[in-house]
Amino acid sequence: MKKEEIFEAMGNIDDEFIEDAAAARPHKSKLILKYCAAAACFLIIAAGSIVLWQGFGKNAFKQKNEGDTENTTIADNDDIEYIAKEENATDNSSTTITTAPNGTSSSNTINTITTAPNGGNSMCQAVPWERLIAPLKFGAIPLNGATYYAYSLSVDSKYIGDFITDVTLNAKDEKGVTHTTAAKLYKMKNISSDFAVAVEYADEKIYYKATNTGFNAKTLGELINALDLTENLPSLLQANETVIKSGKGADIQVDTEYSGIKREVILEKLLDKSAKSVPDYVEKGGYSANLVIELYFKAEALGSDMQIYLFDNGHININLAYYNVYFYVGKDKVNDFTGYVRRTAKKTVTEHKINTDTSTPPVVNSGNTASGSTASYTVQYNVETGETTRTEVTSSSGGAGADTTASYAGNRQYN
Amino acid sequence: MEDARITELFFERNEQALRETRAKYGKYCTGIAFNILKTQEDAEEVLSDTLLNAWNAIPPARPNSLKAYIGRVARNLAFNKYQSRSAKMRGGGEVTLALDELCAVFSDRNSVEKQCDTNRLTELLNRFLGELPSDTRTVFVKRYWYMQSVKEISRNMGFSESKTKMLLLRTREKLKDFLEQEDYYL
Repeated sequence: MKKEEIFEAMGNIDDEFIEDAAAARPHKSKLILKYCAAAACFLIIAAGSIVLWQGFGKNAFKQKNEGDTENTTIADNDDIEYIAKEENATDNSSTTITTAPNGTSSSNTINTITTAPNGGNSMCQAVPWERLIAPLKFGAIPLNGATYYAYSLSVDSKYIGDFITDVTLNAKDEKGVTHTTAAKLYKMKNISSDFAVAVEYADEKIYYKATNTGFNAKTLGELINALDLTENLPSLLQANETVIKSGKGADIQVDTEYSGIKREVILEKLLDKSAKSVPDYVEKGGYSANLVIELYFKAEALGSDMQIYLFDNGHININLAYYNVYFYVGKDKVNDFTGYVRRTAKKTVTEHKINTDTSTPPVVNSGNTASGSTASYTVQYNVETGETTRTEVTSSSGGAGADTTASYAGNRQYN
Repeated sequence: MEDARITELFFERNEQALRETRAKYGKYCTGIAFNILKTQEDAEEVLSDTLLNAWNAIPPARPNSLKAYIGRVARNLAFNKYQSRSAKMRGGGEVTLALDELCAVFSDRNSVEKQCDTNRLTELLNRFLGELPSDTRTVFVKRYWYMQSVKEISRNMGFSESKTKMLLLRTREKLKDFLEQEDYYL
């Protein structure tokens, strides 16, 4: 059974189980127990401190007990603070967000989404309003009846076009206090303003890209026109492909980087202007399709990087920062284009031996000795020169890894 | 705002629906996506895509639970992105670990390219989950639906990590027995 199928089956369980799990909190009794234990510790420490203070004087206390006292108190306070935040939380979502009190996980990164705070979520209280950049505070921008969302993507001033309008934006901080700012909206030189605009906030002399989330290209042609891809695609693009091959004892992961793919070829062979968008691709289970190849390029003129993913079910996914849309071009187009790239593009191939034993982590270049067999190697060769480099990483149990590298000529074919 | 009213706004094609959904479930979605993707930028992107997806799907879809619906879309989109990304960087991540654990429930005979009836499996999972004690079910769903780490779950639930691990292990064993009793493999 494939992991994707298990993921899908688990994903479709009853709504009530999903909601219940999100809403779950520690039992009150456990919390009370923890509070009591922490309070008892605190009282014992406090009582002990007073006795020491009175018995030995301030200096004696410092010398003999300061370290112990601090350690104990800090550990308990962390625990109490964390539990208290969870207990006071009013937003159920806090259970689904990593909540480590000591900053060991995601707390600092996820906190910046506070343009519409619900309050109570401990994760969102860590980054104060005044420290957020403007697009994270005033991200939603109304224009011509649509809502554009600005994120943290800045746009170079050379791509800023005509002034559109002034807007006044409101948003609430984590305490529910309303803030207001002024902003100017501009066209981006290479993009239809139906799709995206540039926003300049009053307090920040930076242009940010704001994308119309309601932009709905019914055909690939509409998107190509809105983004003027015939001009804005770079003349040469790159692509990635990954194939896993079964081997004796371990699988081989073959990563191929293609380069020098011509824009005209992509437009002609892949980007069928009549291809229709598939807005419900994901709900229909499209995520279980296999990725065949990924095209990617930097597109400064479009305000961000862009990827085009090709799937074996004939769909392509165009991902332009915060805009993500699927089109059905057909399996033939995907296969033809992929075959063309494999035959004609310059490529660099890297092989990794990967551990298929799920009880231990993959060992490629890891130096991990836990499984007892951590030998791995990487093969790189350039089809243009025919030169191949094989790097082996061998480590024995309990010993440090030793790298050996050998180069040899080869003409291996990957189709 | 009540979920029913937000759904009505979607049906009225009123973009206030997007603002309300973002306000109410934005952090919920980014939390789910973050558990899978582990980067803020990707999680934000998934939120944006989730809203767009909901806008395109409602109507005609009318979810019974808007929260579960939105969460499910975010989870699927995040997994999709995870797959695309992991094609380049295999291994690691909480998703891999969680799915590996769950895959181990299924016997070797099923690991051969056997066609999986996901609808039937979901049906069986629903029955199995319905029979579990509340805490056990919550831990199981947090791990295999929300893809939370054992550490997070332990903190959320007030359990020790060893207790959470043991609970998950026993639940997986029970699931394996349950599926065999139901002749799932046959």
